[in-house]
Amino acid sequence: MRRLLSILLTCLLLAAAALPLTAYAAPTQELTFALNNVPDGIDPGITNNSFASPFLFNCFEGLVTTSTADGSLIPGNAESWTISDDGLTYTFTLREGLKWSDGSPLTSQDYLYAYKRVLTPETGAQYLNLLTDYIVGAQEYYEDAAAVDGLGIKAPDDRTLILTLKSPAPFYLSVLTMWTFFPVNQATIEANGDQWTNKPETYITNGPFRISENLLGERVVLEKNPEYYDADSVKLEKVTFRYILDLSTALMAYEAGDIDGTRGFPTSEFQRIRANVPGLVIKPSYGTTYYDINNAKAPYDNPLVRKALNLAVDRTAIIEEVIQTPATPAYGLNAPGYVVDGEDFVDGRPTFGMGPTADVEGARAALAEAGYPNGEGFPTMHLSYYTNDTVKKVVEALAAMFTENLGITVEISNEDWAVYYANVIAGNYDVGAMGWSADYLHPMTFLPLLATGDPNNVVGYSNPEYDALVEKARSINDPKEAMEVMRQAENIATAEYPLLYMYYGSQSMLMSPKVAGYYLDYSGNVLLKTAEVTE
Amino acid sequence: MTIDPWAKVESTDAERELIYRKPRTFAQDVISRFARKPTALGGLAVVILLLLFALAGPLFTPFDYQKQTLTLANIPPIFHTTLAPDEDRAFYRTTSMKVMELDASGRLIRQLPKVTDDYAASLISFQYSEDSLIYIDYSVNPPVLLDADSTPLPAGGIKWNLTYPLGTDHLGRDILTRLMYGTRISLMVAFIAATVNLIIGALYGGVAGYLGGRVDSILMRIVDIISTIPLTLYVILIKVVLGNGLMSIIIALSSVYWVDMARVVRGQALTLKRQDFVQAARTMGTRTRALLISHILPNAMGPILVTVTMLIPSAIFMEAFMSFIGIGIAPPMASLGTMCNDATEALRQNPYQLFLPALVICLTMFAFNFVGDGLRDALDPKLKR
Repeated sequence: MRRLLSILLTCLLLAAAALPLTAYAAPTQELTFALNNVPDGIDPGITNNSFASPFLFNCFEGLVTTSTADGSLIPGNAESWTISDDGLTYTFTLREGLKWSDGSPLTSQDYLYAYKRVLTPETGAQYLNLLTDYIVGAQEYYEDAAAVDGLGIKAPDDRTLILTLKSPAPFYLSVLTMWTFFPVNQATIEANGDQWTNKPETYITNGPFRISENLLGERVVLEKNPEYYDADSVKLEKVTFRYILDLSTALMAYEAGDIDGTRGFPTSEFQRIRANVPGLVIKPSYGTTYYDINNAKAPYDNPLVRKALNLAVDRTAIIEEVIQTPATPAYGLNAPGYVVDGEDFVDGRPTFGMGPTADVEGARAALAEAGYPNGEGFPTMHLSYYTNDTVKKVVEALAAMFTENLGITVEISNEDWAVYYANVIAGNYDVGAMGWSADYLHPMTFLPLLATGDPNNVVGYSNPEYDALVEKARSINDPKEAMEVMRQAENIATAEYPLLYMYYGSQSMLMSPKVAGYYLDYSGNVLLKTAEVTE
Repeated sequence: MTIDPWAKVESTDAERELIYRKPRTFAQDVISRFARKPTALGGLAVVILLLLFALAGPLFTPFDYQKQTLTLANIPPIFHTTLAPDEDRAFYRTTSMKVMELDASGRLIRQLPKVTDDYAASLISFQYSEDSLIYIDYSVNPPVLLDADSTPLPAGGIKWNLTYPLGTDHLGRDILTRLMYGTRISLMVAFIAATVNLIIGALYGGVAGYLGGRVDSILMRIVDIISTIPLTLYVILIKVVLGNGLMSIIIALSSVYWVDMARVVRGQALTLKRQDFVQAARTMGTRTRALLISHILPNAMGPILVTVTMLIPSAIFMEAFMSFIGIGIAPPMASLGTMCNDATEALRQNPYQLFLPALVICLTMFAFNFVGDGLRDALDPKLKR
C-alpha cells in the first residue's frame, strides 16, 4: 500500500513539473492588433481603401501573392502560369482542390465571376482601372456587357484562367496581387447582396483566415481558415483586430501589454519608442511625398520658378526636425525600391541641383532669372494642405523656408481631404501637399502621374517627349531596357521640376518581439499568414 | 450731573435738511461698489496686464511669431543638463534624442550635428568639437550621455532656458512671443465681436421690444431660429466661402452672438417703454428713433454692459475652441487655440507646450468673468447694500 502511494505521489510530482513545461512549449496562438482607421468597406471587389487591407490580405488570396518571408512574388491560388512570348496572354493553372471557407470548391469560374463583377457598373468598383486599363475588352464590357464577346478573361476549364492584355505589361503580375483580383464567392453574394461582408457566416473567404466575429467599429476577430490549401503553415488560431482610433491611446495600450501590436503611433513619440519601447518595425515605403505645383498657372508655369522652389527647400531639416521619422530626401518622382539585376531605379540619377539642404543662392538666382529678383513682384503663394498633423507641421516649415530663402509671401490654407482633393483636381491651387503610394512595385505606378491626359495628372504638366517615352516603356518586355527608357522619361520631367520633391518616407508599426513570421510590405500592409507567437 | 435721556434736542430747519453723506453720481456709485469687490479688482488688473502683455510685449522680445529655428525645436523652459568635457559648457538631451549645447548660464548655443546612429548598439554619436565626439546611449532608460571614452558625463543640475524663457514649440518658435501674439488675436477677436454684437443686438432688441406686437413676434422668432443653429456649423460653412482666417471667425461670432444681447435689450425695452418718462417724451412728439437711442438704450445700459463683458470671455473661448479643432486662424499666425492644437500631438513628450497657452486662456477667462461679475453687482441698484 505504502509503495503504491509513493508511486502515485511521484507520478503527481512529475505531472506537476511537466505542466508548466507543456505550457511553455505551446503558447496560445492568439494575437491582438490595433488598427487606427475603420475601413469604408471590406468587399475586395469594391474598395480601394487601404484601411481594409488587414482584412483583405489576411482573409483572401489571389492568383499570385506576396511571400511573407521576403516580400517577393510567389504563386498563390495559381500553382503555375505561362506568359506568351508577345507578353499578351497570361495562362494560370489553379491548384488542385481549392476550397472556400465554407467548404465548397473554388474554381476558375469564381475568378471569372469576380472579375466580371468588378466590371459591372452596379458594383461600383473603385479600382476598376486596374482591369480596364490593361485587359482586352474590359473597358467595353464595363460600358455595355451585352455587346462584348471578346472579353480577355476566360475560364476554359475549372483549373485554367486566361487573361489577355491590350499591350505587354511586364509588371502585370505584381498588379495581380491587389485585392481587386481576389475571387469572391458567387453563392453568398447572390444570397446576401451587399450585406455579405457584414456577418461572419456570410463573409466567405479563401485565404489563411476567416472572420469569426465582427463588432462594427469595435473589433473584428479572425480565426484560422481550416479549408485554406496551405493551412499547415498558418500558425495563429485567432487574430483580434481592435479599432483604437486615437494613436496615443493605441501606444499606451501597447506599452501596457493590452495589445500585441499597433499599426500606428504618434510620430512625435518615434524617438522615444525607438530608444525605449521594444518591437518597432520600420520598412522603407515605396512611395513619394511631394507637393503639387500648378504647372498651368502663372507664375508657376515657368520652370525657373519651380526650380527656385525645389532648391529653396531644406529637406534634411524637414526630415530630421519636423517629421522625425526615417525618410530620405527626394530628388525625383520615383521612390527607390524597384531593382533590376541588383541595380535600383534611382541609382546614379541626376539631382538637377536639388540637395539635402537648401541652395539659397541657386534658388534666388533661378527666381531672379524668372523675373523676380529677391522675390519682388512675385504674387502671394497659396500653400494648401489637407487636415493632417504631420502635413501641417511640414507646411509651416516649408512656408518659412520660402519666405526666408526666396523672399516671397506665403499664405497657408487647409481643407478636409475631400474638399482639398476636389480643389486640386479642379486646378484651384498654387502649391499643395500630395504624395503617391505605390499600388505595385514598378515605376509604372509613378510615371503616368505626369503624362498628358492621365486622370491622376493633377499638376497639368505636359511634355510630348515624356508621354512618348512612357508609352514606349509600357510595351518593352525586357526589364533592363524598360528601366533605361523609364529613367530617361523621368529625367526629362525632373529637369523641368513639375513637382516639389520632398522625401521618400517609411512604414512603421509596433509588434511585440514575441511575435514572429509576419511581414510589413512596402505599402504598409500587414501580412499575418505565417505569423506565430513564439513564447 | 445727570443727563435726561428724554430731553428735547433743539435743531434748526437748516440742520434737519442737511445731507451728511456726500452726494454721489451714478458713476461714482458704480465705481465704489466695483472697487469694494476684490475679485473684480483683481480681474481688472489681470485684464490690464494681459492687454499690456499682448500689445506692448512684442516690442521687448527679440523674436518673431513666425521665425523658426528648426534645430532648436521642442526645448522646454527648464531642463536637466549634463556637464560637457569643457567646464564652461553644458549639454541638454531633448526627448527626440538630440543634443543641445548650452553655455554655463543656460543660453542655447546650437544643436550638435549628428554623426552616426547605431541602432544595434543603441548609440548615437554627435560631433562636439573638431576632434571629439559625444554619445547618447539609449539602451538604458533614461538614456545617458557618454563622452568619447564611454564614461557617463556628470550631471549639471537643473537650468532655466535663458534664450527662450518659456521654451520653443515643435518648429523652434519662441513660445513667449507666440503667446503675446496669440493673446493679441484672442483679445482682438473678442473686442471686435463684442462691439459688433453690442451694436446689432442693442438696436435689434430695442426695436423689437419698443415696437412690440407683430414686429416683436417676427423679430424674436428670427432670433430663435438663429440661436438653434450650432455655431460650429456656421463657421465651417463660412470658412468654405471665405477661406481660413481671422475674418471667418469674426464674421461667424458676430453673426450669431448678438442674439443674447437682443433678448436682454428687448426685455429692458419692454419694461422701460411703459415708464412715465418715455410716455412723456412720446406725448411731446419725440420720434421713435430718437426715443430709442436717447431714452430707452441709455437707461438699459447697465444690463447691456454686463452682457458685453460676459460676451468677451465666451468669444475668446469660442475662438480658441475653433482654432483648436482646426477651423480657426490660418498658420503661421499664432492663436491660443492653435497653439494648444499644435501641442496635443506631443502631449506626453512636451506637456509645457499645451500647459502655457491653456494657462493664458484660463487667466483671460477668469479675469473677464470676474470683471463682468463685479460690473453686474455694481450696476444693479437692486443689489445695493
